[in-house]
Amino acid sequence: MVRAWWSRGWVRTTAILMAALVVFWIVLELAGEETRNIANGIFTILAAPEFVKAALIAAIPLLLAALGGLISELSGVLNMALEAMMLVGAFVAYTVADHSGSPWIGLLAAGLSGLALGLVHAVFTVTLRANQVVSAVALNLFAVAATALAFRVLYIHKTFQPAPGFEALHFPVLSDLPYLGVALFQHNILIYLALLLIPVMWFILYRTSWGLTLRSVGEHPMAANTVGIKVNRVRYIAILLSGTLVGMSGSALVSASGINAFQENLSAGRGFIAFAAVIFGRYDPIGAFLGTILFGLGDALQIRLQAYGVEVPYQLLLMLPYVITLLALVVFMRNARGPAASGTPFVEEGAG
Amino acid sequence: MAEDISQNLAPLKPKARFSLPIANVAMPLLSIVVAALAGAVIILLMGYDPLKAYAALAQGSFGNLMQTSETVKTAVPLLLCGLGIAFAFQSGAFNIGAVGQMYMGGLAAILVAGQFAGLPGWLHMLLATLAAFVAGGLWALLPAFLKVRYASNEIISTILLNYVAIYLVDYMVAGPIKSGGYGGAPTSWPVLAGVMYPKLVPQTQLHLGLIFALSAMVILFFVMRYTTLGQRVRIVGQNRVAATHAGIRADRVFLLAFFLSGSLAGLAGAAEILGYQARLISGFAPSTGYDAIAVALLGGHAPFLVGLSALFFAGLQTGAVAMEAIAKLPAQLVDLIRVLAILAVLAASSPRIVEFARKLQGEDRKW
Repeated sequence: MVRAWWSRGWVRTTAILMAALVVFWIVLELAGEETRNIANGIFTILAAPEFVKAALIAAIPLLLAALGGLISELSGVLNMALEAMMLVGAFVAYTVADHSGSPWIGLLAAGLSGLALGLVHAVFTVTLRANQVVSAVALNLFAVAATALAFRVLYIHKTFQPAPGFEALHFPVLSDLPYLGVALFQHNILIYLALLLIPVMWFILYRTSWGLTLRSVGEHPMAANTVGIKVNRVRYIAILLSGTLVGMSGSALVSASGINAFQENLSAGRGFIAFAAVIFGRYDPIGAFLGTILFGLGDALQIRLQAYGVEVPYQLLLMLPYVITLLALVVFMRNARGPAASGTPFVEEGAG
Repeated sequence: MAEDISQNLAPLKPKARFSLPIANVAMPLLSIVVAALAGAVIILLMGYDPLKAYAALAQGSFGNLMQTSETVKTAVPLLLCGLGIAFAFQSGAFNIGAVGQMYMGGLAAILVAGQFAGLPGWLHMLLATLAAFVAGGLWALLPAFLKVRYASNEIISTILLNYVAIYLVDYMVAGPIKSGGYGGAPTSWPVLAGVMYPKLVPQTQLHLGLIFALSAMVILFFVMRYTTLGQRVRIVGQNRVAATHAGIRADRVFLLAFFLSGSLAGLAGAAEILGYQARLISGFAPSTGYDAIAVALLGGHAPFLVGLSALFFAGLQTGAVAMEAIAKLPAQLVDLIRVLAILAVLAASSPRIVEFARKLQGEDRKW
């Protein structure tokens, strides 16, 4: 189905952002001198290349989580355990990097921990056919308790120390470009790998036979079964892949903290925002990316506003990403449609 | 389809000689035993004594009258939230927003109960409770409205609203309704004298909130079983299209169900503040709303069973305090054991296990 150009997500995003800017500008014209000074400060913040840089850094953990969530979602299994996988992944990435001295081993271990959680989620939702939402809620509670416990046990007697992280890369010429150099070309390798994953994922999902299999399982498992596809096996693979990616997003989260450190409940609901990004990104890797960028911009703005000393209580600023996500859900959800069999377990005829 | 399976398999198995209700009773019990064993292994690995820990759990939850009253008090918000979740579930939607709805209820309760001195105590109490009821309901109505009007996924919007509510409470207790002179965690102004729920039994923690929770349980049972509203909610939950064809305004029923679901969680917030905590503290009930999901699940969404399961999870919670105090387990380890119980309950109530249990029982009746 060809969608009209104006119904595409990014067109709408741009239109809404521009409308918001116009409203903002009118308000400023009406407001007094002092407000205008603050607004000037905010514009300075927004215009700095560091702002885009920070937004991208904040968006990457969510991007990885959202891409992971997308695979599982397309196979017909809701993965609201993104939050749990991200948190456990972050803890494992930090601890293993700290002990081994290599962020790469940390990344690998984080992926494996996500895989393990994915396996639990798969056993519950695919094999036992338990409620997918409740399984995720339980895993999320588990992740908060388990990481807090392990963190206390492992680090209680030690002074705080950052783990070794990924070094920022320096490209010849590109990194020295004005504005773009700082904004886009001085990141660490993880960020470029994550961005590279968007087209890779798109290709796998829409241009390979395995991608078609995956989507057919999420769309009409009964039909997929009839043509000889092992529905539950595909779902297992999808959830395990999903878990691995989301676990790795924890590594990106640690590295996005700026100091390569873990703290209790580091993910703070980002997994749910990634889950939402999958939905309002219309179950598409590129849409998911745009969704997470939206969050990244909000997060970067929020942190800078706090630092700038705008007289808005920080609790309300912390609320901002969730409110933005909620609004995005409402704005972009119209006409969006998830996989038809999403959330329903598959029972093979005659098995049981 | 599931029916076919049981019919196919029934002749293969001889009828069970005794009819132990395996699916409904034995499986949940067995799953809890498995969770306890798994918990014991973890406790052992962490270098603590599982026997001592479980003794403390038993002692702390139902060991004596005092502790039992503590457990019943803890069960009140769990029961209210659990009933709310069960009710929303009947209407075909998942309300994971009990945390936020409870926080908004608590906030509304303290806003009313902390000012307007001079009102008669009972009226003041009633108004504060009503405020919590409405606030929780409205906080649930928002995602329900978004679902009906914009087809927004209610699971994710209720969760997002949890975070918004938590930060809102954080902001309120640190700013507009902050109490003077307290160090440590930010707390709100106190509940005015005479507005707290009266104690049902002196020297215990049992308060008026228990009556509210029990009434809600009974009322919900009657509503679901004997009223047209209950029937409409169930039909909408089972098949929206059919409900619409039967002349039921599905959207309206759905909104109402969600409002009531949130109100019950709001009431839980009031019960915490007016029954026990006496002021609003940042993060005053971080996991009650999530635990309540397990409560509803274990209770199979049937009001009276939800009551029992609320008691079970409350026992785990109060027992956990004892495990921390007597057996010196870290609090997070105790949390972990509670999560194991939730997972066990989830497994036991999963279709696969239930089918398996029924097969074991040789039951061939329809289900």
